[in-house]
Amino acid sequence: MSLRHRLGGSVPVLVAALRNVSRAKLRSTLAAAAILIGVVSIAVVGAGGEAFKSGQLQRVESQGATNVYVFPGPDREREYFTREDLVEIQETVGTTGVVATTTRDGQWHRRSDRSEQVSLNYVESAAALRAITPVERGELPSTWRRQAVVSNRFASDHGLAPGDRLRISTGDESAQTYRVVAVLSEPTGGVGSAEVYLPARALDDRQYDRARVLTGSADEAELTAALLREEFNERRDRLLVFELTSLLRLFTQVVNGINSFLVGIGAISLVVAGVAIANTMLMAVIRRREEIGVLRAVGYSRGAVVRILLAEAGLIGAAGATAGVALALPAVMVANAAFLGDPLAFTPGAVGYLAAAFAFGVGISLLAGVYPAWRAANERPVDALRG
Amino acid sequence: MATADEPEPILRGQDVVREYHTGGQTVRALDGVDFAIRPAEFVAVVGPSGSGKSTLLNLLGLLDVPTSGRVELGGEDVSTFDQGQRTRTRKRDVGFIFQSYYLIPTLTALENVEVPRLLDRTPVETRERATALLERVGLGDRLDHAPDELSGGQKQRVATARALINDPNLLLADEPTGNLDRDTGDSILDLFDDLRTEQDVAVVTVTHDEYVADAADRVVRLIDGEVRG
Repeated sequence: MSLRHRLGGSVPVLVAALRNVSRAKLRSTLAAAAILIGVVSIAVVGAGGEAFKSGQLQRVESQGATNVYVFPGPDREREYFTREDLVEIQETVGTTGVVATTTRDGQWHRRSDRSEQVSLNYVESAAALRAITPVERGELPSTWRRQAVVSNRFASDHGLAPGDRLRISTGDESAQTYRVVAVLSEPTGGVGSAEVYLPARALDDRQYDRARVLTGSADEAELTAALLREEFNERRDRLLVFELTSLLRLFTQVVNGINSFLVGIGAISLVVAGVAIANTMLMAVIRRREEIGVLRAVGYSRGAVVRILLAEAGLIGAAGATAGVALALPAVMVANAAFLGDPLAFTPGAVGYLAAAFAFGVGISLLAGVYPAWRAANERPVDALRG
Repeated sequence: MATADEPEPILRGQDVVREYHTGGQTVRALDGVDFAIRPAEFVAVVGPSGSGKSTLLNLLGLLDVPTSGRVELGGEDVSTFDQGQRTRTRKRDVGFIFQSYYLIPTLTALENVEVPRLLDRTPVETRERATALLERVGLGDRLDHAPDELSGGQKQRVATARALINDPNLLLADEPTGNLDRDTGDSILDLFDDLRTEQDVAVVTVTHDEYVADAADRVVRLIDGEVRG
């Protein structure tokens, strides 16, 4: 007596179901393949979408989710902030740091006969600049007058290092010479970033086109933004207030919506697969009509017949879903590597999608087996055996 | 009528009527039949096609219930049984040998014999008993053969072994020798005799074969749903 036979004896319904499923190998395989396709599409789209979302969220958060960005509102008389405005903002947000900046386009006179456009960002103080961007090389001056700080991209593109000189002009003004004292470590591209950072005192008008409120956390940023809106925008929109947390929420909503839509399409393919299983099972019970009649005659209860047939449908579904998850895993790992930088960085959401795809695949199969099983179990053995 | 030295019947029917409704018409397949099957008895039911033989066999095997009249099993009226009870009773007391055997083509002879007990979670005992039964019917060397590797008589014997796996009191055989040559038919009848003498199994068979009817203790002739002679 083999061990396999003894083990099989403890799960006789599964043994019977497995025997039956393997009788119509091609039909069972095709039905399982339909489930596989549905499971793969749900798992890959769902878990891949989760990886994409987490990757983007991480990126956006690293760009300063703890900051609140404030711009002059459409209902203001002036399209810039004055020092008085900044004081008002500072009073509203309390002890939280406020950094006002102005971006301008300038001309960098590389040689006497050649100049090119650079983006300039005027910052109030070295301390304020330090607060928004870490320094990679060099040092920020304690009194910032005729020195320039450059972004690391700008520095590497043009071979600039602390100690070099830049001749820069804006508008109609004559060019001023600045000495490069530091290179910032942050890459350009974030909100309010620029290639060259100059002291605000170099501006003759001291008009700021934006301010950044530096808070300790994303939640605090959201609260601060709400406070500013309440204080300044009660009747008129004096400020445009942005904070990334609410943008992130919007982004998450959009991505979730798109993901749900795509997963929904995958789910439809699983429902179609369920129809294939129902068809397979119905064929099976029609072909095995007499055999099921014999089982009923020799003492199989209706419940036993239902259990065996549901187990068959479940086995087909489980086989398809297992293969589907196995195929989806490498695809999701590629997505993880692309969006999160680590193939094994499965987010809880992605694991959830994989599990849900498997469960849905098996569940649909079981559901598809219900009618054929019910029909087979309720046929009177006398009728089945009459031929 | 039961006399003092006759044992109590396993199965008794009184004024059993079975009607079918087909196409707006009522067909009376059995029209007031009385019967009693006692342990170790061999009863042959004969009659022309459509005389109600199969209907009677279905009623004896609890696959069907009478429209009126009473069928008693061990003194209990089977019409009071629900489906589950009838199924359990069939399993415990009745063995079926179907005319076309209905063996499962993808299973071996041994596995086919085990089928009625497959869900019992006693794989070791079931296998031992199935092996013993196949040896008993002379197929000890064909345990692992598929049905299409067996002759008609061998299939019949596998079907018989399957009918015996649950140790029934009543064996119902539909045309047991119908597709067999005389020698093979004889071996089946010998097997029935052995079962009756050794285990008190009652055998009821529906047959067209006078040879089988001659071997029986009792012949019931059905004509138009009634017992004649």
